[in-house]
Amino acid sequence: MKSKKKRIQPVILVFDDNPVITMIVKKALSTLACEIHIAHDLKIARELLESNPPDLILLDVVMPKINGFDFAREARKTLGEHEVSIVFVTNKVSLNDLEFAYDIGAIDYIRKPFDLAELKIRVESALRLIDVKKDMREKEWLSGMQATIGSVVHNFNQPLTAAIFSAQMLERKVKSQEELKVYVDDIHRALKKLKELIAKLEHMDDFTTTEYPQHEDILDLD
Amino acid sequence: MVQQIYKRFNRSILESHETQFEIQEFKSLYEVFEGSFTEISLLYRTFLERTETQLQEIESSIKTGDKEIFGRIFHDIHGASSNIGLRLITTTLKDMKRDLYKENPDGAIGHLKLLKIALEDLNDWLSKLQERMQP
Repeated sequence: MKSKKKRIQPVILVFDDNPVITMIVKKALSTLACEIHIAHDLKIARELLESNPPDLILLDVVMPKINGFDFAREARKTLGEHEVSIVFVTNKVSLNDLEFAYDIGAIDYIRKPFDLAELKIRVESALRLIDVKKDMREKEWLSGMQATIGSVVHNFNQPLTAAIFSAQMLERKVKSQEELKVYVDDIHRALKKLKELIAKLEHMDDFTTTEYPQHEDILDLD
Repeated sequence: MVQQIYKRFNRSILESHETQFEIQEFKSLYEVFEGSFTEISLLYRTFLERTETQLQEIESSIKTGDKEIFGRIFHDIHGASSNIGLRLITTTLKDMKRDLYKENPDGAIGHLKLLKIALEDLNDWLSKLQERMQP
């Protein structure tokens, strides 16, 4: 199974209260295939988290109202399941700060003053990492879909085959009312089973699979 | 092409204000902005306007001895000035911080005055830039 989902451009949020820094960063990254949003204050940064969930945040540490570490934690909470990578861009560089940054999930730490070419290379590398993670998630999703479709095919096939068989028997062999009742009951049972399976699929929010020899894992609907 | 423009740019006014700039940083900035005088001057103008206001806050923090406010503003100006190649401002800032942390507020105020002169020089450079680049 191949994905036909269109790959959208990664979104970068640059949050630094100094407009000189954001002007340089934006320009240095302007040739990358990504969407860049700038925030100079907490209010705008929070709004951008909601309106344009970023895949990567380039974050200053020392800012008025909130420090970068606290904002990183807040962003993760706000974004929930939307995965975000964080790169700190700052001249606050004690060993404790570095340790703390990586503890709260930063993937890189760029020191100011930064070399513009180096900044671009490191952001490109962060974007590649994000892309790999997205690919992995997509593969997981596809594998889940395969299991679901395999299960639907497997589970629906049995009652459908039974219903078709009973209908054929009706057509060819029925000679009495008693015989007719047996075959109609079989068809009813098979159709009822199909209806139950559809209802289970509609309300399924979690799934487990069973491994069958020579087959893909098949979703348990029973 | 970029090199040619840079040479013209450099010859015209950069050398007359050489003490202000870390030439290598400036060159790299110039290349990223693809030699756009408008964008480069906007960048320095933004720095200048923001820093002029911040120096007033720095002066108050030196007088009151509030190292927290001083530290935050220092961090801000230092990060920006070093990234746009403003050598004179970056080194003077460091000297000012050293004096303040050695409990020498008079020395810090002295460096603050030098910073103001450096900003005036930058302003002068920007005006010349604008004049030269007008069609």
